[in-house]
Amino acid sequence: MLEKERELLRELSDIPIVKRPFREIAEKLRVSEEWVLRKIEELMGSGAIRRFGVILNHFRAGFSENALLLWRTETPGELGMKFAALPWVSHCYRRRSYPQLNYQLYTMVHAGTREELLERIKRMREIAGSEPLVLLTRRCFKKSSFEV
Amino acid sequence: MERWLEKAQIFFPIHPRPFSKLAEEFKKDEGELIETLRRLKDEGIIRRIGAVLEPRKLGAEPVLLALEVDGEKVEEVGRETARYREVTHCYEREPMDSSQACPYNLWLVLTAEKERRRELMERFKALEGVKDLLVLESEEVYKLRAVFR
Repeated sequence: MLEKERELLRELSDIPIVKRPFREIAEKLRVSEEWVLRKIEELMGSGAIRRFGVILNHFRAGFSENALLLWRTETPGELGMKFAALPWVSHCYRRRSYPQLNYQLYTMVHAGTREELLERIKRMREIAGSEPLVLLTRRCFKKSSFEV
Repeated sequence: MERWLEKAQIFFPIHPRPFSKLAEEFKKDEGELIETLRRLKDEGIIRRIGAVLEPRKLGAEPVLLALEVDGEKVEEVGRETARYREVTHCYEREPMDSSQACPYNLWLVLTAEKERRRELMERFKALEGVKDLLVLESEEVYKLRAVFR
């Protein structure tokens, strides 16, 4: 990747909220606005940019309750697909398991209130027919985005 | 959450005047939309507007790490590991139900290329109070969408 592209990706992590944000970035990088727009399209096309848009602080945006659910299952694929279809599940992964942490499926669940969270966990328990290990956040030391 | 804000998480025109296009889409005025977005950012509801990158396409691989840390050392280890740019998430977690036990109380997402991952994991394992460190590689992704609605 060219150094200019790397610089562009850094600028794109947090664009200015002005009428012509891409022109402002272009001036800063000493390139044309057209180059910036074309590069963004390219980087989106190649998948290096996964999404472009507003990134919310979910805690402040009304989704203050979340839990990491760990499932012990022999059919992680089947169950994973079912969980993935639920709108309040943001992440659903099959992960490597260990004898001392014997879970195959990991889901991240979000809700606005504790009551809603418990209700959603209950729905998932019914779908799975088993009990997950439910981990709540006690403290957040860091929440950031990957940067180049 | 308002519908337009929900939509703005996944829809953003790559255009010389993106906010004008957005305003058109949401039947709002460009100036007002810009004002609203700035306010939401000031209030911390919007973290940022921009690109979400795919580390795997940029030479880095994210892994989830589960650490077992002595209770009185969690804060220290949490702060120390969170210092690294490559650690994007660092949470202390505990079972919701006290009848369930889980010795792994510190959860990190580490995103880096292989050598750097190995180096940092060695460093984390050596921190005082760390009794175990598991690397939870993802073997299959069924969903990854940190979009809220």
